[in-house]
Amino acid sequence: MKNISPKIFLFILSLYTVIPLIAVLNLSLQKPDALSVSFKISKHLYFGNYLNAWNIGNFHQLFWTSISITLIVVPVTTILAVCAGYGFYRFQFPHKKKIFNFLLLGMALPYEAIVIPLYYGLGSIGVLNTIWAVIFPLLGGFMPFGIYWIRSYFSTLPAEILEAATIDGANNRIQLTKILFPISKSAIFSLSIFYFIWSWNQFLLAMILIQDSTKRTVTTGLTAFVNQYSMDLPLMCAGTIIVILPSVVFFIIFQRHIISGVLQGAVK
Amino acid sequence: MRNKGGRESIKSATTFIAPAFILYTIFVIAPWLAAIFFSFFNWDGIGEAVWNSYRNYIQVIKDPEQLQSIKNSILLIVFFSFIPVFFGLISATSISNLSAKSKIAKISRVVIFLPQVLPLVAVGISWKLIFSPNGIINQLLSLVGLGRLEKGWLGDFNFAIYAIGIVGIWLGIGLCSLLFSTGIQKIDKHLYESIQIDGGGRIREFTSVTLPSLRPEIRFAITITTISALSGFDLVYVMTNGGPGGKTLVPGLEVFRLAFTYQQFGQACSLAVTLSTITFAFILSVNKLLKDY
Repeated sequence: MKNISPKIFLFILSLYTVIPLIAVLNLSLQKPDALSVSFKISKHLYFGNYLNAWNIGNFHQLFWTSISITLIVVPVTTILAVCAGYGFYRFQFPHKKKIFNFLLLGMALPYEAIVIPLYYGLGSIGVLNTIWAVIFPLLGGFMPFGIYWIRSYFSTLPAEILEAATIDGANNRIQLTKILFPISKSAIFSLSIFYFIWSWNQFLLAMILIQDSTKRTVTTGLTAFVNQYSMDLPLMCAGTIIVILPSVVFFIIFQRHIISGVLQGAVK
Repeated sequence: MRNKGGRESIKSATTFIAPAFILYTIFVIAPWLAAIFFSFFNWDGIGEAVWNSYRNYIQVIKDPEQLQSIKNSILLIVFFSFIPVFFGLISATSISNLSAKSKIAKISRVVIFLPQVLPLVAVGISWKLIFSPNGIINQLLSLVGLGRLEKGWLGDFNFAIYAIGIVGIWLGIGLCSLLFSTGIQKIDKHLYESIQIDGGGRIREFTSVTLPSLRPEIRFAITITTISALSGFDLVYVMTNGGPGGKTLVPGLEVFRLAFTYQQFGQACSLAVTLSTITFAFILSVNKLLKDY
């Protein structure tokens, strides 16, 4: 009996979380003349909005642009962060602490604070309005978190692991790829999942640095689509669900990695 | 043990760290330094930049729009950070009071975390519908006979910023609750037993054991959620675009407007630098206040 109130609290909290999403899902399945987000679930679900939204909103192109960005950003940032994290974990060098803190600075620096100079800088090297205008800043911007993350993960491993390898004469590359990598696979994978979510969801950089409407990403494309078809609510909701759905599926598949990853970040 | 700082070691460290370091310096630090530099100039983005000393920074405080955006972002910290931390503590305690096998504990932990992974623009669009004149809130109100309270919530001068705040709570609770419920599992159970022997109740348990033990998790949660509160561009852009009458402007959006609508790049840069300074100051003080003893 005493456990009833926590259960009710958690139930209400869960409801609060899913209601906006269910409301949008529900409206996306109504006939095009529906006017409001409603609780009433109509008997006849209408899937035509999805087909229309997909075609009108040019979603295959938006998806392709976002996929191209993540396919470059995620592997490159993961590899570079693992290497640099290893560098900070493994070696002593002058000013190490200062250099590390200099990197950490970037974790608190919002993209809002650097996007205008980026607009001019990337314009001057001619990559504005291409996917590279989003890729380059993300390559730099993702480094602080990843390096911090990997270094603190390596620090939790027992020191003997590498001592034995050093005595055996294994060089740094072998120590990293043959010894540390296999035992850290799951942490590194969590990091790449975060990188995926962040680059997939990135909006500000994509909006300002890619203003060409044929090169929009999923997030900026959705915003433009919604602004244009705000009169047709079911269509607009179908577009929104098309964008939300992959993230939900992704979360369901990788929830264990995502959750354990978040918790690992909190340890330090 | 680890290599000491010999020449060999410096060489290897450079090989491993340099690529990341260079990308970070070129694409994050250099633009930031450029923003600091241009924040002292009058510049329309095309013509010649004219030295303006620190006057742009005075303008940040004098211009009602910019000042409003800063005030709003500080108010949003309460909604994105403090309230989720508070509810996160309650829900984590609730989860820990239930048995590990409890289905609702397991499921709700995952469900309330979901908003963290969704694109914020899609989240904003969904909530915009909830708050719309035909939306769920108004339907609920008329259902319980409070139809006279119905309005377009995001168009309301006083309420709009709180509407954004409600979405902030929605976003943050899952993260906080997850962090704290795992933190609670790590607390030594004997600490609770000694409180029970003293005759203390649930509330004593919470204030004298749970809360102090969770200090690192709370610090981490506040840091992360504050960063997201201060960079709330995505949500505001799709939900209100700063309106009505500038009541929901946040610095990120105002930087964008100054630069691309008003062509005041120097001014935009000084607001951007102000924003990053506030972020640093806030994070440093949170970490000082909640440091481990």
